[in-house]
Amino acid sequence: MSSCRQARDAIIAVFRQQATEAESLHLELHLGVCQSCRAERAHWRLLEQLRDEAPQRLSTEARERVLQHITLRVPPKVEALEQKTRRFLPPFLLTATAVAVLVLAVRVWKKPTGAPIALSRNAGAVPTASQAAASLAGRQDREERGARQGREDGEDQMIRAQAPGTLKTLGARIAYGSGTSFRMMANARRVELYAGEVDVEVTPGGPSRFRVVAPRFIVEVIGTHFIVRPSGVETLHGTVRVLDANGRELAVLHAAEAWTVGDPNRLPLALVDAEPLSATAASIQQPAPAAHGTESLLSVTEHRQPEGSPKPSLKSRVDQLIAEARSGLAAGDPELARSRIAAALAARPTGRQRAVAGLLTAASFLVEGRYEDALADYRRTAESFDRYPESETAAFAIAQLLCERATTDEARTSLEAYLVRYPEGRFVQDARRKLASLP
Amino acid sequence: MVVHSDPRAKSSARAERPSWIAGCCAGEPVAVAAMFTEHCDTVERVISRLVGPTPDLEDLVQTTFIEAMRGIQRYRGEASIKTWITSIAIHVAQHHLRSGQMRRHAPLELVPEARVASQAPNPETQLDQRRLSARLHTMLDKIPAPQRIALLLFTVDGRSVEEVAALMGASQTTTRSRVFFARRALRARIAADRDLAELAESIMGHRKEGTA
Repeated sequence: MSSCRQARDAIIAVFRQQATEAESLHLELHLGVCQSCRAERAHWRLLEQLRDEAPQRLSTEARERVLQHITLRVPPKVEALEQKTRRFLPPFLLTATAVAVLVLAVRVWKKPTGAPIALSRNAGAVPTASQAAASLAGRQDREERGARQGREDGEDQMIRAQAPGTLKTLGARIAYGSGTSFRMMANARRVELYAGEVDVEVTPGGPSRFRVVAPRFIVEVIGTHFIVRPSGVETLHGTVRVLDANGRELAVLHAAEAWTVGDPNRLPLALVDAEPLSATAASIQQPAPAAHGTESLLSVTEHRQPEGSPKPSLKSRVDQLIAEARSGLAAGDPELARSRIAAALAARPTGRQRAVAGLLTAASFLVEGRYEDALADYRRTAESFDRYPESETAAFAIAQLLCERATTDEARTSLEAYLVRYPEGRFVQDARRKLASLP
Repeated sequence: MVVHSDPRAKSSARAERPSWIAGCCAGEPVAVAAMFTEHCDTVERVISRLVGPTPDLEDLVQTTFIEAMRGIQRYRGEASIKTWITSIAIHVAQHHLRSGQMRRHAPLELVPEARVASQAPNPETQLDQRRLSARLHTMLDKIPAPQRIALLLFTVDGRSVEEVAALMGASQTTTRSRVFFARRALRARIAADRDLAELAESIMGHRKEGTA
């Protein structure tokens, strides 16, 4: 063996049982005189332990569980149909385009009030005729197109959003961000969330409970407004109940409370086979105190948070810093909050994170009574981050702040501007009420 | 991902396209079950090798197959279906390792039968082997996920650099460098651990006695 480098290659070859007899012999000769290569071989021998270890196997029951879950998560057959349709797309492209234009024309004719075709501002720009035609021709996601049109036909829809949007269904309005993936089952008043987050506003008095099924928990609700992510829930108005896959209650959240999955592996996957909706109806409005005594509930109770307390870091350093800023604000320390926000902005945040940072900065000025600075930051956020829900929040915050400062004319202008910009926005009712109360 | 550089290999992979793929695309439960039955062993083995003993194995296997079902329509037959599913399992394992949600204990139902069988030399050696294995996995946990996966696929799973590169979606140069840095990091950690050296000597001693 001419060198240690060749010896080390041979060690690997021997370890992988691919060495020739000659290589093995030369290696043994070299090892007899080279202490460092002997040490190297000793290390590789330790790895033999990993190689010889029998791989971990699933039990038969576990395999059956997995198979059941996979079968339940199979994409709808309609996608396969869509794929078949794509093969025949070129010959039918012109026909489809013509049909699309016709459908659009009918829709415009049916809505002569001037409102843009059932699209909220959240759904992004109103599509042009050619975009809609392309969409109908299959170039955009079929399900997303259904969502953008805000239809209420009660069909199941699989949404894989490439842009923020809003979906209106029976008694509920669902806003989603880019990258959100979920299935809407309108007839069952149910949403299955796979990725991203949904902002749900449910109208009270529906025929049955509305549910959002996340990978590890279920959120059940009567009439409220809440945000669900695979990692947790945040309630904006009303009350929601968080359940596990077996329908067991994990938490009851009132307005401005949040709940996160602490140790996700301690919760079983919450698939579509949770208990029937009617079974838990009685206890929704009367949340039980946290006295279950189960391990799962203990874990949940630890993670239940009031508004403003820091959320656990989910993805990155920026999220961590933003959470610390929120914490600082909650503790009445706006300077600390702004220092964290500055650090977050220096750490290459995403657009959404910058929008959140803008809102927090404005809030920190409000804490100090610096209304003009707060207004400036709200305006910047409202104008610069039009794609994100924070823009709408900022727009409404501007109007609210002006109302509180009794600047009637400006407040009226802001509220009207908000209503024009977000005709189906989250704060429409509040905005109308405030507008009516202005002198 | 192209695994076969030889066009004949490509065509043979295409020829071996299982009949259940069309069924999976159409969302037929029977076809999904056929895919699961055929590839569950492979996925279990790959994830188990890469992640080590974990109670999350069931979740990881499930995630792999769900991802496979989501992407089945994009499968073009350029690699064999086994290679394709293996690469998904590798990505799922990598994501899990990166998420920092590692748990090292395995529930009793997941302890392989081979470990509780009476073929091992004696209980003392078995215990030493388990301790050694646990320590090695703890050390591997401290190595970045891509490096760790490249090392394990190359050494423990016995795959070539070309195969590892294709499965991980990286170049061969990157893969070689990952294996190199993983080996170096692991060697440094092993050298700094006296207990591990003693354990290793003990096991080597038992092995020599067994072979003598």
